[in-house]
Amino acid sequence: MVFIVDDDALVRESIQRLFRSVGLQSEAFASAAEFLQRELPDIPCCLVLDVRLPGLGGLDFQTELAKANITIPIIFMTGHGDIPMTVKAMKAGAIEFLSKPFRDQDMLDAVRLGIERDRVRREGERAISDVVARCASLTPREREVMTFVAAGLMNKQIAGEMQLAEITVKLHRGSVMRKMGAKSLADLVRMADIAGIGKKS
Amino acid sequence: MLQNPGEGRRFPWFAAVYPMRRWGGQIALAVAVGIGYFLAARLSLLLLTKPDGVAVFWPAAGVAAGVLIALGAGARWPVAAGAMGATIVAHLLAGDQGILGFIVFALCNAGEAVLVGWLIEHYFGSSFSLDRLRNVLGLLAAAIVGAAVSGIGGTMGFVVLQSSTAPVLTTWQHWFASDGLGIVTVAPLLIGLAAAARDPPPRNELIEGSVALAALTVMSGLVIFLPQEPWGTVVPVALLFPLLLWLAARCRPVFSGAAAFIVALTIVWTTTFEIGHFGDPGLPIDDRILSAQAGILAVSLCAYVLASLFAERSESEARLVRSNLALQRERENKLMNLEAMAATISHEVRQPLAAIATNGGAARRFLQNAPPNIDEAQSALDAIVIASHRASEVFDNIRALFGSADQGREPIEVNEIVLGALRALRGELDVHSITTRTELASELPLVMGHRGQLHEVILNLARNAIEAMDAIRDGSRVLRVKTEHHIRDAITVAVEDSGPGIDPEKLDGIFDAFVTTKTQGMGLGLAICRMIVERHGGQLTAASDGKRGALFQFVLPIEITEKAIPHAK
Repeated sequence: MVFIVDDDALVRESIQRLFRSVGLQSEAFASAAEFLQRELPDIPCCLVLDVRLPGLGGLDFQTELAKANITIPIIFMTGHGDIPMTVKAMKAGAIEFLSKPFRDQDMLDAVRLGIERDRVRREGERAISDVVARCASLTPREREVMTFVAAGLMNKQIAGEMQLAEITVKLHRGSVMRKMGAKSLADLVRMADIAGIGKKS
Repeated sequence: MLQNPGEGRRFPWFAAVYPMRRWGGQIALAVAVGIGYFLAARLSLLLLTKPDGVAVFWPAAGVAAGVLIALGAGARWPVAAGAMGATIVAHLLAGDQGILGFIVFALCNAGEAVLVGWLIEHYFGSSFSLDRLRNVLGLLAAAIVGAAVSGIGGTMGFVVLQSSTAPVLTTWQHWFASDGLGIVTVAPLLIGLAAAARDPPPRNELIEGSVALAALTVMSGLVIFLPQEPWGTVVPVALLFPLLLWLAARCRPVFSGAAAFIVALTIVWTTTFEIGHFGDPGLPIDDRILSAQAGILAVSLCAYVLASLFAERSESEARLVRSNLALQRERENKLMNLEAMAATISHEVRQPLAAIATNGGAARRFLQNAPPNIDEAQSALDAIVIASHRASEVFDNIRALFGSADQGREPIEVNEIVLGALRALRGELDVHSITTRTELASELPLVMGHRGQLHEVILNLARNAIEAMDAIRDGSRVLRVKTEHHIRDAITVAVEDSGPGIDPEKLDGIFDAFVTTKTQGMGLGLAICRMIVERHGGQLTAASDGKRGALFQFVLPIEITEKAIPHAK
């Protein structure tokens, strides 16, 4: 999904048409304020933004989005092509800065890159929240066992540490592997790392 | 929000205070002039020509005339009264006989000062200064006329009332020379002092001038005592002239006036008390007096002429610097305006070009699809046609606005333009639910201008206001448009919004190129609005407290001078 913010209807419509021609979904807005009214969907998306907008300008809008913790990849367009502005926008994490009139392929490449980045970011975030949710399903004992396992202790050492029978540790360990959906020890250690378990000792 | 330029200026506080102090001030002035006149007269009465008894030098004449010129016509009666009183008292104290004669002399002295003052005021206006050669020569001429006329009265006094036996012409000649010299030596100092009181010289100049004057005092003392030798006429010139030149070149005319006064005083003093060169009793008194008078006249004129020439030169230099700066500013403005215009045009053309290029790309892709999407490709082509027309419209607009800008000047009713612009914006105003309030002054004079350009300026200011008020979610959106005729020869047009205002720190920059906010269609930008207003000889300003609303207003002169329209040839 691509969002377009430009106050010029001709430009807005032409970009939408271009996206339609390659089967990309898009939505267009005349101002930053209009865009903010829209609830963002939970799918990979990116934003094509004109630098000069009535009211809130494109660069200020970029800052506002960052402040509000809205991470959407931005592709800037400008009718002036002034360099200081380009530098500023790119430093603030813009995907691309296109000078009007731009090549249609450049726009499409930039948008695809933006969407791909958003997809990767979303996957990463989803993986983290997944692991965190699974960790939450562990009992305190299992959590403790996972901490020791992640720290590289043998079952026997863990039993000693926790003053349990080795067989009990083995049982706990098995249920941790099952609950976390870990396929191997290395997998479990990586998850512990993501969830921030085992770092405190 | 904006200050009315006519307000608070020149509050005539003195008009309220003056009547109360007036009489006291007049009497004090008369007494002061009287004392000055009396002291000068006492000195003069010590040296009288034989056998007619006319004073050889009469600096008192300079005191009265100088005060009158420096203070203006308002001081006429106090000065006249002071001069008359002092003349009579001085004669009485000197033990002279014939009260009727003194009264005639008093009348002549007072009349002389009044005549000189009137001549100066009549030909040079009320603020007279010696920083022009023309003024120096004018003062000399006024002194000659004043002394000549009063000399006639004075001679009659001597002949008729004092039964003087001296030839009439000689008496008149003596009177004329002593009064004329008195005015020429003393009045410039007083005129210069008054000017310096109004506009005090900087400390550096004060110190430098004082040092030079002290050197001059010492030098003139030395010169007086030079022995009578063949080189005796060359050395004074060689010693005094550099100092006079120094003062004239580096300080303002008051210092040269003081220099001339010091030299003249030295000569008068030494002649009167028979000291040094001019007081040598071995020489005939008439010769000494003549050479003293010639010396005073030469030194004084030399000092004033030099001072006025240098003052003229430094003034024209300052004027040159000022006009250079103005030219430079004008050029920078022009460049900035050009830059703004180029930026605006480039932006206006890039928009439709971007639409054309993008639609073209889309059409090609729709046709390459399998199966090709003919409908979409067609609508893309239609959009291309529309966008190309818009691009050409941009150039039409520019041509209309600036192509034949100056031929299009005509008498314009500003209110009509305001109403026309608001009519054109009615749709936008309704869409943004903005209330419009107009306060248009009735019977506005016409201004000469370009209808289309001024229409665009108002349109653009109003559009900016509409955009600014977009940010207002709660609270009223009010667009206020006002025309006024407060300043006598100019019309003010103000466009005010109730938006969030402009940060006062950013106010200065909003007219720069690149800080234009985009509008649909022919968005001119503030830089070009200002350029248009300036080309009409007016001024566009912005004001805001950064919280509630912004006010843009421009002033259009009713009469446009040649200078305001550099292109109108």
